[in-house]
Amino acid sequence: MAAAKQVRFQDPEDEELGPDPRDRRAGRRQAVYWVLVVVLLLGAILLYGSPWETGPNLHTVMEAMATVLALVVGGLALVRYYSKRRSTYLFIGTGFLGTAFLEAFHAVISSAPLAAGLTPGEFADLTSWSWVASRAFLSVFLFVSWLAWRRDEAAGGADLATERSVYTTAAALTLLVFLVFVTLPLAPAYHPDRFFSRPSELIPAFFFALALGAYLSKGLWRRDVFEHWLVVALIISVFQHSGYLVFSRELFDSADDAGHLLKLVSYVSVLMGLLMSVYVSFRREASASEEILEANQALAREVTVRAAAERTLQESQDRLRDFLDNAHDLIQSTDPDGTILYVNQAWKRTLGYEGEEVEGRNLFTLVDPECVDACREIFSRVFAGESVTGIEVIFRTRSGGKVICSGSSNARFENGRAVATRSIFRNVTDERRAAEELATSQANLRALFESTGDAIWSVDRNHRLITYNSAFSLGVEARVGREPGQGDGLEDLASGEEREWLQERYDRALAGYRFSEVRHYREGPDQRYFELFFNPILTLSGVWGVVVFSRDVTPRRRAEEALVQAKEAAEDGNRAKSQFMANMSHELRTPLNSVIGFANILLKDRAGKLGDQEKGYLDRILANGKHLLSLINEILDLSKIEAGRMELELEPVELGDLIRETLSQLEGQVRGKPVELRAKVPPDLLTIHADRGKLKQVVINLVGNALKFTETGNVTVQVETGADPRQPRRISVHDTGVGIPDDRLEAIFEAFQQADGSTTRKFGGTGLGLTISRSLCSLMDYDLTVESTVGEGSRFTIHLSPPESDPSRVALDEDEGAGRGQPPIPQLPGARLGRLEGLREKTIMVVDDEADSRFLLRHYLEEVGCRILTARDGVEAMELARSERPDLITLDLMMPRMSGWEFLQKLKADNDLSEIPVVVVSIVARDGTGEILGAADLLNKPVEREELLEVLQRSLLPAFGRVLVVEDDPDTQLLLERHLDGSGVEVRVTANGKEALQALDAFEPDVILLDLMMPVMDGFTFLKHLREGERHEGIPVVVLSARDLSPEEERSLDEQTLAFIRKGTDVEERLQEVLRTVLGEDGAKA
Amino acid sequence: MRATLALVEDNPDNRLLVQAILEDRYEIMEYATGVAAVEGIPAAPPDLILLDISLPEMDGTEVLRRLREHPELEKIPVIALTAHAMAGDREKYLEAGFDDYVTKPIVDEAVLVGAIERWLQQSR
Repeated sequence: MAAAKQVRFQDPEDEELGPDPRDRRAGRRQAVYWVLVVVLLLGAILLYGSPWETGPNLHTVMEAMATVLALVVGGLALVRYYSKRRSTYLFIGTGFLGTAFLEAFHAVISSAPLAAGLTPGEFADLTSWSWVASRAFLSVFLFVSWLAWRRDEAAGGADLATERSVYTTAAALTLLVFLVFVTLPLAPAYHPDRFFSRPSELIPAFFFALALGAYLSKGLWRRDVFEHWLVVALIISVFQHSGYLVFSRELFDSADDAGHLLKLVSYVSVLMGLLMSVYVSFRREASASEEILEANQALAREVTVRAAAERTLQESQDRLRDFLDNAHDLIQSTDPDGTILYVNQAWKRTLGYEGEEVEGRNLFTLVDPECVDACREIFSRVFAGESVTGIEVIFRTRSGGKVICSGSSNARFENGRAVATRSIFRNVTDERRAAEELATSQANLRALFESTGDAIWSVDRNHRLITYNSAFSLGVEARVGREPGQGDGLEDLASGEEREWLQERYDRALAGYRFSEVRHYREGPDQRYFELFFNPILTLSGVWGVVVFSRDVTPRRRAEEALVQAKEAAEDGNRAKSQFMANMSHELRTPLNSVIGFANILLKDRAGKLGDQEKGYLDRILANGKHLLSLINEILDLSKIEAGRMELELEPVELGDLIRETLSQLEGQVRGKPVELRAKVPPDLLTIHADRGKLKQVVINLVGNALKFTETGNVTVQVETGADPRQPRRISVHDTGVGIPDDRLEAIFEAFQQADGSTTRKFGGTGLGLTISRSLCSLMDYDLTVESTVGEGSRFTIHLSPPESDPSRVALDEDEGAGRGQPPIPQLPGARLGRLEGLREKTIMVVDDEADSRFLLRHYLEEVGCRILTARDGVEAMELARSERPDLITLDLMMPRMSGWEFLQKLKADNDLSEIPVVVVSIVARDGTGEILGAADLLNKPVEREELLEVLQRSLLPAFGRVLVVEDDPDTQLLLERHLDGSGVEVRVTANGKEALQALDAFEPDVILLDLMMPVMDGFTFLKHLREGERHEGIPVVVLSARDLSPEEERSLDEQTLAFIRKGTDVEERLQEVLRTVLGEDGAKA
Repeated sequence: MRATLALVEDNPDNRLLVQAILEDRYEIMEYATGVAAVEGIPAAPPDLILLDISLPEMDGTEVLRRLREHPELEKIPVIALTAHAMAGDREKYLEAGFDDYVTKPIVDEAVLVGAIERWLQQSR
C-alpha cells in the first residue's frame, strides 16, 4: 500500500526554507549586531560636543514621522498577532500604538505655539519628559512582551494574555501619562551641570537594555527574521538613549536630533522585521499550499484506496458471516472459561436457540451433564495447543432434548496466549440413532438367525460363504470334519455329488430364481430329508448372492409317506369294497337267473304234465326268487347311497310329466283292486331343478307303497304350491289305506321295519323302499314326512324346498329374525312379507255360525297378530261392531237370525260403520260374486290361509303398488305406462340401470320391470348391483326383453328374477299376471 | 326263415335257460368262451349277439371290441346279457358299444324277447 507522503509542516518560527544552515545565518546576524554597536559607539563619540543645533520644526517633522511609523508598526504587529496568535506581537503592537499616541502628544507639545498654556511645566521639560514617557512606555512594553513569551513557554506554549487586559492596561497607562503631564508640575529635565545632562533618558535606556538582553537570551533572533530586526532596533534604542540623548544639553542639539533620528531608524528596523516576517509568511504559505494541494491529492488517492480496501474488507467479512451463518455444521467459539463468544445460525437452529441468548452463557451448562467431564478434558487439551479431532459431544437443546455432535476444536492464540476455542461440529444424532438401530436390528436378526435349528447361510456370486448360523456350522462340521469360515468355497464345504448339486442350485438362484428342493442324505433307515430354500439376494445392481435355508423335513416326509400309504390303503380298501359289492351282486344274480328263469319255463307247462299243486309250488319258487332279487337290488342301492357314492344329476324337471309317467307305470298294480289312482297337478307349473331319475324313484316307491297298503278308496298324488300358484312346493302321496300307528311313524323309514312284523307276509315288499326313499330325499336335500291315521290312510309328503324358506312361515317368524338366509329371490315378494307386519294389532270380527269356521279363521288371524272378535250371527255381530268398531269383518252368509246379506245391508246403512270393510267368507260366495253389494272381498270356503292374508292386506293396508320401469326405448316406455295406467300403481320410468339404482332409495318400488339391453348400465349389471345392496335385494324383478338368452343367462335370470316376459307376445297379459302375483288383485285390475 | 342268434355265455345253466326261452323262436349258436366267440362269429355271422360280460379269459367288452374290428360285423346288434346290474352299469355298457343291455336274472322273458325283436327289426 502506498505510504502516504509525509507532509512537512514548517516550524512556525522558521522564517526560511532553503539550504542555508541556521548557524551561518545566526553568525551573520551576530556580526551585524557587532558592527551596529561599533558604528553607534563611533557615532556617539564623534557627535559628543558637536555644536549642531536645529529648531523645533525638524523635531516636529521627525516626531510626526515617528508617530506615523509607530502607528504602522503597531498596526502591523497587531495584524501579525491576529494571524499568528503570539502574545509577543500583542504586546509589541499595543506598545507601539500607545507610543504612537504619546509621541503625537510629544510632537504637539514640542511645537511651542501649539503647547503654550496647555501644561503647567516648562516647555523644555515638558518636551523632554513627554519624550521620555513615550520611550519608557515602549521599552517597558517590549520587555513585557518578552515576559509574556516566558510565561507562555512555561505554560507549554499557551497564549495566556487576553487582548482586552493588554489594551485596557495600555490605554490606562497612556491616559495616566496624559494626566500626569496635564496636572503635575514637571521636574527639570536638563541638568547641564551633571555628566548626564539628561538623566531621565536612563529610564528608557535601562528598559531597552533589559529587553535587548531578554530577546538575545530568547535566541529566536537566530531563526526568526522579525526578532532579528527587533534585536537590531533594541540595540539602536539602547545606544540612542545611553549614548546620545543622555548627553543632550538642550532641546534640538545634535545629540537630541541624532537620538530622534535613531528612533526613526529603530522603528524602521521593527517595521522591516515585520514586513520581512510577513514576506516570509507569504512565501511559506505559497509553498505550503502547493504542498497541501499535493498532499490533498495524495490524500484523495489514499482515501480511494482505503475505501476500496474497506469495501473489500467488508465484503470479506460479509462473506465470512454468510458462510458461517449458512454453514450446516455447528460452529462455536468460547473463551478459556467456556463462555460462549460466538455460535453460528446452524448451532442455534440445531439446539433451539434464538437471537443473542446463547452468547455469554457457559458452554458447560449447555452440554449433557454426562459429557461435561469429557468436554473439560478436551478443553484443557485445546488450550494446551492441541488440535483435537473426533470429538463427540452431547448437547442439550433449549427444550432439553439431546443432540449428538461430532467435530473438532482448536484454540486461537494471541501473543502466545490461547484466547478462544474454535470448534466445528456436525449433528450426527440421526446417524448415531440409525447406527444404534442398525446394531439392534442386526443383533435381533442375528438372534433370529441363531434361534432356529435350521441351517441358514448365504454365499456370494462366487459361491463363497458370507454368513452362516451355528446350525450350518455344526452341519458342515459333522459332514466335512472342519468348521466353516467366511470366504469358504464350495470345495471346502461339500464334496462330490453334493458339491455339484449345490453348485447347480446356486447358479439357478443367482439367475434370479426362488425355489426349494428336497434333498436326502444317507441311505437306509438313517436317511434324512432336508428341504433347501434358495433365495436370491436382490440388490439394485442385480443378484448379489444367495441365501439358503435348510430344514430337516425328515419327520414331515415320513408322515407324508405314511399318509400316502394310508390313503392308498384306504383307497384300495374302498375299491375292494366296491368290487366286492359288484361281485356279490353278480354272483347272487347268476344263480337267481336259473331259479327264476327255469321256474318261469316250467310254469308254462308245455308238456301239460303239471298239476295245480305243482304249479302252486313253482309260483312260490318264482315269487321268492323275485323277492330275493329285489332285496339284493335295494340293499346294494342303499349301501351305495349311504356310502355317499350316489351322485345327483340336476336338470329342469316338469313335475306334471314325471307324475303322469309314474302313475301310468304303476297302473298295473291297481288292477283288480277297487282303488282309484289319481293325480292332482296344477296347470302351468314352473319346472324345478332336480335329479329326475331319483325323484321319480321316490315317487314310485311312495305310490307303490300306498297302493300296496290300500285295499279300497284312492291313492292321490298331488303337487302343492305356495302363494305362487306356479311354483311347486311339495309332492304328497295320499292314500285311504290301513294307516300307520303314531308310534311307528318314524320306524317305517328304518330298514326292514314295516308298520308291524306281519306286514311283509301280508303285503310283500322288501321293507327297504321307504328307507331308500328317505335316503334319496335327503341326498337331494328334500324332507320326506308322513302323517297318518290308522284306518283312514296316510300322507307322505316330499318337501321340495326346505321348510325354513316357506314364505308363510318366514312371514310369521320374521320378528324372530328367521327371515334371514333366504334364497335371493323369495317366491312371495319381499314387499309383501313386510306388509304382514301391518296386520298386527288390527281388530277383526269373525262372523260365522259354525264353530269350526270361526276356529280356523281365528287361528289364521291370531297367527299374524290380529285381535279377534267372534259373532255367531248378524245380530250379535251388529252389537259387537257398534261397541268395538273392528277394523275388518269376515262374514259368513248363511247364518240363523240375521243372515250375512242382511247384516251387510244394515252395516252399510249405518253411517258410523259403513266404512268398515267386510270380507265375505262363504261356500256360496263364488256363485254370487257380483251380487254381494258392499263386500270388500270374497273368499271361498274352505278358506286358505294365504288367500285370507292376501285379502286382509288388500283391505286393511293402504293400497300399494309402485312399479319401477327400467327401459331405454321410449316406445316401450310409453307402452308399459299405458299397460300400467289405471291399475292403481305408481310408475316411475328410468332409462337405464344406473338411473334405476339412483331412483331406488327414493321410490322404493314393489316391483321392477327390467329391460336387459340398455346403454350406460345394462340389466344384468343392474341386477348384480341390486342384489348386492341389502336394502333392495328382496324387490322382485320382472325381466322384459326381446333378447334370446343363452342357457347361462337364463339360469342366472332364473335365480335372480321373478319372471321373464318376452317382448312382443302377450306382454299386457303377462304383466297383469305378474302384478297380480306381486301386488295382489288391486294392482292388476286394469 | 328264423333269425340266428349267437349266445356267448360261460355258465351252462344260463345257456340252457336261454335256449329254453328262445329256442322256439330263433336259431341259437352257443359259444362258451369269449375266445371261441371271437373266432367263431366272424366265420358265421348271426343276426344278433347276446353277449355275457363276465367271461373267463376274455370278457364281454373285449369280445365286443374284437368283433367290432370286423367291418362286416359292424351292423350286427349286440345285447349285453349280464348279471352286472348295479346302478350305472347300464350306462357303462351302452357307452362301451353294446346296443342294448338286459339284466340277469331274466325275471320276465318278455323283456329279453322284446329287446331282441326290437333290434332284429331295426337291423333288418
